[in-house]
Amino acid sequence: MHKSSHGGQKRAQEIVAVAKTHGGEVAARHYEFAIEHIEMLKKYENLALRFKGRGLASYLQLARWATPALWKLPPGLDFEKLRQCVNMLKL
Amino acid sequence: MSFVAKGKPLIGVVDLAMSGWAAGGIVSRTMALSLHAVGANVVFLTAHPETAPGCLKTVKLSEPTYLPGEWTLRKWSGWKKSMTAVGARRAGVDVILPDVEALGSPSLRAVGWIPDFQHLHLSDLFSKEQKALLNRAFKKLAARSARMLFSSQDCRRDYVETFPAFAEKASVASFPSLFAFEPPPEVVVAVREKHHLPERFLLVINQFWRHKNHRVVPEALAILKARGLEVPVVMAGLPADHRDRHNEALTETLQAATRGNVWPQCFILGKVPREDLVALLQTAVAVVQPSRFEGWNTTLQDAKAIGCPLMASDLAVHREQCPQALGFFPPDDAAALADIIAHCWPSLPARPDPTRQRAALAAEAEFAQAYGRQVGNDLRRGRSMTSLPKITVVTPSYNQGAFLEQTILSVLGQLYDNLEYIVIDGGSTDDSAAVIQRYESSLAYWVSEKDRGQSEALNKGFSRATGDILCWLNSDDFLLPGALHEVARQFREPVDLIYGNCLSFSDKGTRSIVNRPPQHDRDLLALVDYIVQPSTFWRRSLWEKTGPLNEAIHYAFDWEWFLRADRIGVLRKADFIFSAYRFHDA
Repeated sequence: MHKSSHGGQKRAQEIVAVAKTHGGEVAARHYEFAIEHIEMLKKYENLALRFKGRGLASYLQLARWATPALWKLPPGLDFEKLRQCVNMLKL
Repeated sequence: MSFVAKGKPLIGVVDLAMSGWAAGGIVSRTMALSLHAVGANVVFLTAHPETAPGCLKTVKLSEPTYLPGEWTLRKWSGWKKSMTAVGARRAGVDVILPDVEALGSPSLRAVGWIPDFQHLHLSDLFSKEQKALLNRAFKKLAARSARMLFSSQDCRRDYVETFPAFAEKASVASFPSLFAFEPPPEVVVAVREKHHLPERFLLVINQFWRHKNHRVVPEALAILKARGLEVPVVMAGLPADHRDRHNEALTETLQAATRGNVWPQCFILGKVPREDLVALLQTAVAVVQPSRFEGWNTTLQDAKAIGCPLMASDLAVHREQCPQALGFFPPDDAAALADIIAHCWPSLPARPDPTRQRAALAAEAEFAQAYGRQVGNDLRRGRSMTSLPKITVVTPSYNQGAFLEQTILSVLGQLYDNLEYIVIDGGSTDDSAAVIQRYESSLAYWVSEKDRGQSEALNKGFSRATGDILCWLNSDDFLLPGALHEVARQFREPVDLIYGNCLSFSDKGTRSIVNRPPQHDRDLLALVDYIVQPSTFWRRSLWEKTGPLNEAIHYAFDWEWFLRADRIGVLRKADFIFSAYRFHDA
């Protein structure tokens, strides 16, 4: 059954393919980076959630600081867009 | 069950007593009986047909039975309201009235009724939130109704000032007394003996709520007593009101009687049986109505109908309703009321007065006929209907028998007149086919055979679609009430695809949230699919231009198609919760 929470890797591959065909170069690069660094991005999201749970106002910045590998992104990549890609992939 | 009569629309009169509103119930009955009396094709919509007037055809309304237990959805979907609309549609009703719940839709005409705008006039009795809630509800009612009916010119004026945009829908039809159809007995019940009442007395019939202003009556009695005139007054009516938690109205009245030392003249009966109430009206020498505000008062109308003299507070609506009253007094002016009583009391004849009652009842019967004709004319004026675009819903299904029936009922339960519903099952091995068969008479097409996945199943369904507007609904999701009518409304605008909000809920009932996607942003859609599929609808012309779903894609085919659609058509967000999306493990 088609549910956005189902499909795992197969679904992720389809999303990247659709992004490449219709979304253009920028979307495709974001998805490629997101898939390659998915564990790190998930770690960032978990940290952000934990900081938010503790009532820290700047939980997003704190989580970013606590994930050094995400401090510097390749040129042309936007961090917020990456987060949206991760959310879409649901891996 | 069919009530269709050739050439006459079927009018469904809603029994407002169902919600425990006794006065509303009387309005419903008089409305139904008046229309019936002038030959209209009327059916009475009620949960209690045994209480309906015998001459009327009735339709029993019941609680909806589908989607049991899912309280979150009930909360979101205005569940109770739809039960009246469902009952009306099943009976083939063309127009429904008096509508107080905004039941009107493009496929079910409704005539709205607002009893009064009390919250504008007695602002101190309502909280800010209550006033805002009433204004919103009345505005919605005005927007959805084909016509708006008011019981008095006074009420109509309030409406026109408050909602000038809907002013042209307004008309006035002042309802008659129920006595026009159910006259009181010629032999009057011995109510004086039963309650140990004096030979001559004034009568106040009102529930004890603050705006009914009982207090002014014992105050007037005290003034009269000081002048040497002792006038007995009987007060009947429920001695409580849910809006008056501390029973202040009754307390004020009792204290006024004590202060003025007029206790022996005050007979506070509280709520009495209907036959006693009728007998009191037949026996009292006059009725006093001291209210601070009214829309159209049933007690005054009843009193008029049997020829009982009246004294009323000086409200525009009272002057409109009973121009022949013995006198009008400012609502809080006990001295003015005392003057009127002092002037009239000595000459008021003893009652009952059968001759006067017969003449008054004959006049009331004529008034009721005129009312029936007036309402009938309004129904004719509001008859113009917007034609509904044809909407095709395709449901692909595979082994979702546990949820499929809810999905089907949510589509058929929309009561959308121009619906084409197609179900494509992929050869399920559970009871899906049996479920579909139960509803096959309502389906335009269905099949159960193996396919290569959901996108192929959907394309198969859309290849048979003939609707102007298309959508699909998975077999575990469902549409919320009113969704398709809202879709029809949205597509009056020049737009090719609309997407709306969606109630996402977990199957176990542990989580629910309204997913509100952003306004359309082409760049954002190129990056992520924010369009919620079950709340998305598009024109057939768009589908024809984009071509079908890509069957090579099994998970992201909806996003891929939305992206193609975005290149060709105009996409727009509609701020409405169209559907419910189920998270589950199956």
